[in-house]
Amino acid sequence: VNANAWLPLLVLASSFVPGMIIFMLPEKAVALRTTLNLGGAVLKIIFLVLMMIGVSHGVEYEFRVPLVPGIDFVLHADALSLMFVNLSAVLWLATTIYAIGYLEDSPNRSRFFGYFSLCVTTTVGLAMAGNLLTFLVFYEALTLTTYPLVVHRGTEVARKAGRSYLAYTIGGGVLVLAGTIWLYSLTGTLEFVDRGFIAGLDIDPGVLRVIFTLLILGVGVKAALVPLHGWLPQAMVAPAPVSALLHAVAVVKAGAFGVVRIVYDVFGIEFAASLGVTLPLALLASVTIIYGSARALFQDDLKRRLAFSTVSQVSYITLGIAVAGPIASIGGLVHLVHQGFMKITLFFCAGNFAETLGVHKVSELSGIGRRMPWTTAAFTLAALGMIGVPPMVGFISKWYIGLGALEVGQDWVVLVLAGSSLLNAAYFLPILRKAWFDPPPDEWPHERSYGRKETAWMLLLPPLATVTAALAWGLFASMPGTPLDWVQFIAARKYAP
Amino acid sequence: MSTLLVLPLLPLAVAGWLAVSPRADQLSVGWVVALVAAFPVAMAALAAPDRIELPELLVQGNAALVFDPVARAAVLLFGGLWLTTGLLLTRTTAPGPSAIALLAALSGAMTLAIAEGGPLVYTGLLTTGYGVYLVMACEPGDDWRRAARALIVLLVLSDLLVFELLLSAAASPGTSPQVGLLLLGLVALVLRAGIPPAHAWLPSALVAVGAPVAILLIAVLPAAAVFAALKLLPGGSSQIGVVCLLLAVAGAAWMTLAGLAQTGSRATLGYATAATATLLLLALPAGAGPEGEVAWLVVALLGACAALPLVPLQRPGWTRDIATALVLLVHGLAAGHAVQHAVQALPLGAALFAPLPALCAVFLLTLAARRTAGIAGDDAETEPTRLTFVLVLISTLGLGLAWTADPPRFASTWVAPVGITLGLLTFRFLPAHTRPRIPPGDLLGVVERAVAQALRWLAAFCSRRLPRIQQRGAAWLLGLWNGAAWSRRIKYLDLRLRAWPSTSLMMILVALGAAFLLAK
Repeated sequence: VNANAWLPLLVLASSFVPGMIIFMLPEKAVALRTTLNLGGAVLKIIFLVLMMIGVSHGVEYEFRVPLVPGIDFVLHADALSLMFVNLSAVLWLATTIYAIGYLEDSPNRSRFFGYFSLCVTTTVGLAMAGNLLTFLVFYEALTLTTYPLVVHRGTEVARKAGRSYLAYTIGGGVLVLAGTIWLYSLTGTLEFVDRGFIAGLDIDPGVLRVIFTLLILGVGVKAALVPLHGWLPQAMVAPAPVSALLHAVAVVKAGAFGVVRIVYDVFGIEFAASLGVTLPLALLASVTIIYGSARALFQDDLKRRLAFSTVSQVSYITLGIAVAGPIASIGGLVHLVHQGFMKITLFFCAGNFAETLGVHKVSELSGIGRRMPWTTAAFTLAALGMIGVPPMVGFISKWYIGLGALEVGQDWVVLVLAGSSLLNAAYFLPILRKAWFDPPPDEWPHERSYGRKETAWMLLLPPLATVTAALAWGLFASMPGTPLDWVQFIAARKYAP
Repeated sequence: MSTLLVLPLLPLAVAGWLAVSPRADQLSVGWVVALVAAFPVAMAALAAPDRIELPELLVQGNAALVFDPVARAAVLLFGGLWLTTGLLLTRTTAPGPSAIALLAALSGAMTLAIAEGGPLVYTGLLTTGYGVYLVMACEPGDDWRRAARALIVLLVLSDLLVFELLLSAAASPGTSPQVGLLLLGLVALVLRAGIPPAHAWLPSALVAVGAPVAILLIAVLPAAAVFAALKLLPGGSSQIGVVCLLLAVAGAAWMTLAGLAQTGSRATLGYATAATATLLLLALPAGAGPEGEVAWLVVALLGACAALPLVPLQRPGWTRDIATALVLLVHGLAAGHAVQHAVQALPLGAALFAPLPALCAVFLLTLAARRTAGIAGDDAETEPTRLTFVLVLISTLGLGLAWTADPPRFASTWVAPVGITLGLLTFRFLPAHTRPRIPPGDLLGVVERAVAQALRWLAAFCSRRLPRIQQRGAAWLLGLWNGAAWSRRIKYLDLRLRAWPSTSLMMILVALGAAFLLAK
């Protein structure tokens, strides 16, 4: 094991070790807990920057130990995994800052932040998994570490949501397990390889289609593909930082990332297309996109509306991949990052509305822009990004997916994008109109005073930072070092020259 | 840093500063907006052509900022509109739009004006559209809400169509756009420019908002749509010339009927603006012209329309009448010139119908102007102002530069007198309860009365003298077929010629000529 092999482990340890220490801290040890949280998050970003520099210069970072006979536990840092790890690490830092402010007076903070750190650890592990079994281990671990966060409030509603969450995600995990075992029995390997390890093997295409279906349905639970999405709106009972984590950093993204891994590194995109499985996947993603948007239209609870929005938006990633063209893949992959930044901003803002004024419903948002202008401005920009308004990042994703679809002759995808944008506008613009232009009520439901400030700075800073990133990466999308630039590098490796 | 970058960034920077400054409430919104808007106006007047490549912006890597004739016209129009709005806000105590909303919309308009490359133009177009909606939504009261809802739906639909257009164009670069795509662009343009049948929000919005917002609503959205179309559909859209003509003729006729049915000046102005937008639609398939002729016509036509809400803010008198007359004249001449430009992209037979939308637009604006003339200039919340002349000056400049780019011919001059005359006459003969009472001493009133008098004389001439003349003529014509009379006439002529002394003189001349030749 050389020095480069330790770096993936250090990335995991940077959240795992603080998490384990935090579990043991008393509730009153606020300063130490905060230091550990933020220190771990910053350390992780430093390690990641080092790895990104290395990967861009061709260095291999791989940690490998035998797990079961014939299969290793592999952590491998390639361009794709680093993209997801970076997303998780950066948004973890933002969410940690936000959660510290959000849970200032709440009970069980050590338990919360302990699981919070473990959740990010498993997400990072899942991203760096070098084979399907390692992926499965972290995929299941992610379920177990996020469950306590979903039921954190301990109410009956929360426990019910938690049970639903477990039922869905463990069921999904079983499907992935079944697919993995079947695949191993046929191929004798589970190693992720650029353009897939199945391509070229002499296996019955019918069997491969069944395995593909098992694996996609398994990860599709976390990716909230319709009809496997039911857990996501229910999980909205969790505190706002958890919602942000579920929707933008960890769980949903893990599902979408799983789809990417299965299509690219298990089957290979060109082989998957030749099996005829990409078109049904694209259709499923399209149905999810439209269904999620249509359901979001009728939700009065702000977080539920955002949850159905996630159901819709995450499927852009799947759609971009399933269209099976290099340009659409760029759009799908980059939306993994873009959607994360926009959606986390929206959840931060929803949390600010709830925490500062006690506002939870869309119908209660009248005039909130005058009371909380900065939070509402961040919400506005993120919502416009979700609709696909330039120069926000959402436009970049939709542009590439649409262009890629036209490139491979799947023009119908453009109609799906247009329909979804229309529905996005229909459920976001009324919120903006209400927030900015309707008169505010005489009294807010549960207003907390922060002096002259609209809310605590730890609650305000994260959404402003994430929305600024979402704006800058959209406006300067073609610059080197942006997510789009990195994704173009990935796409070049996933398609045969 | 190039001054081109300052155009969109300056309003944004000022808006950002206003958002964070604790002293923002103490500043006059009007002066802030006017000062910021003065910069584009100065740029339009003084700056040399320029270009900056911005390959790292958005997608495709072909984004650029250019300052060509089209951009100059757009910067002048948008800058002038915001300057006027700002100056107007300094003279009113009525609650107006917020400075941040106005500056955000101005930034979008400036981006659109100087942008090149589909996604960047799209960004400017969207920011302008939503910015104007934002400005409108700052209005007090609830009357504007219905119109605003319609507007935002149209904007979203139009944005989606433009997105599809851009995607399709990017998917097949280097090829001329297909007719289907051009029609897509055409529908997008119709939706966001207030062109019939997507015009209904405009008259009701104009009735509900104050003069500062009305100026922007009239001119910004149609202008933004046309400038965007000039940038996104350059040159190759002559294939849809006939479709544009059909839309323009039908739309103009519809607007004329609807405008006639109105009684208020603002509502009529809304229909006049919609008719003007249909005229611009007609001019579009022929392209911008080498020196941005259509862009200057946009300045002239929409600048003139936007000037009309300012007329009631002037004290009654000859300056107000002059302003109104200038507005109508510039608009009419520009409308005629737009027809002259439009026929270049039309088949010969279809070109005969091209003046109809222009006539309708001029007619309706005249009607709106006459209905405006009945409004006394004593608004309690706004000081009297002659800001109309700012927009009149800008639109005159636009017309002059359009004429310089393509000198006017007969086709571009007859529309104004005919359209204005028709408008004046129609107003004169409308039922009394549908037209406001106009105070005495009105300049156009004199013209209107003179024309009406001429018309009465014509009517009397037609009903009394014309039958007599007709009878005489008929008798004379019948007489032409009388053979005996012809025989008498020829005989009479023969006798007269023989008796005429000139015959003798002619013989002397012949004899003298013969003698000269013989001597020689």
